[in-house]
Amino acid sequence: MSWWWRLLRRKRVETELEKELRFHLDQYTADLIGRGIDPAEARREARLVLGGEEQTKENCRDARGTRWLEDVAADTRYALRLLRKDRAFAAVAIMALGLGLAVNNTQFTIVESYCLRGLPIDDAARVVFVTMRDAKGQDARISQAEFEAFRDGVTSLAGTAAFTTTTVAMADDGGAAERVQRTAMTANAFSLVARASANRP
Amino acid sequence: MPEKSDLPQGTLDLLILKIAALGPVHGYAIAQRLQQVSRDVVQVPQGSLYPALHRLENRGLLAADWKETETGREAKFYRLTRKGRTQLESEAASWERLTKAVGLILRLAEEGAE
Repeated sequence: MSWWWRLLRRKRVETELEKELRFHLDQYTADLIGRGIDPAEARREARLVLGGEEQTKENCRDARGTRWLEDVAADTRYALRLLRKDRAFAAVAIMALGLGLAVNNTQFTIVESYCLRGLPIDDAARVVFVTMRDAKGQDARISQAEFEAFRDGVTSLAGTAAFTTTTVAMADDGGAAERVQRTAMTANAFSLVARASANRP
Repeated sequence: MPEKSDLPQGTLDLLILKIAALGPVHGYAIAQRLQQVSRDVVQVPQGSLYPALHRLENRGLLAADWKETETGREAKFYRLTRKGRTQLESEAASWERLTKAVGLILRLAEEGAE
């Protein structure tokens, strides 16, 4: 019998174990009676000598090698029984778990699409970011003229686009003004990114 | 009644395999035979015999069938598998080697004490 078979037929295995130990006890008792000992006395002595039947059974179950699975099954049954008994607790627990899962899932989706996957550019390796630093190593602004000189002078790039981000105040009629981030970019920026996707080898 | 000796660790498995090699046998008969053949020196309590049998069955060294005994009762008979026979041969050989070596050492110790 393989171990999973024994696991499926747990009841039968238990009955057989009981039967096997019972046979041993009866056989021993019969032998004692055969030696001329009074039957009641023989039965008592056999029990005494063999002793610890539950312990023997436990050790046999351990020897079977499916003990951990049986324990997991028993623990699961116990947990389900408890949950069924205390429905209010079960409802709260399930809701808390569900909420936790939902929050986690949302966070992962956001992080995945913005931080891990990045922009949907097929050939992202061909896209480079060029910036300028001042003497102190900080980002410096590039003027329109500087950008145009760079764009016309560079030969190793298929195209060049520029963008700039500034903070502005916006308000509609009568509403309070709000600070917003505004990004302006050259008209060719989208088509350039699209080309990085279309030009795949 | 002769003095009982505790079996060294792992020896019980070897003895069970040996008895099972002689033909299908149930747990009670294994205990009886071990006691008879060893002239009462080896007495295996039920508490160690059956876990050992189940362990050996689990490792595929023994296989078991339910059969009727001469008295008409059903009992679980153990027999040696091919894997069990290989195991028995290698363990018996290593036991022989070990006891011979222990004997050599013990004799040497006595000569040295004179």
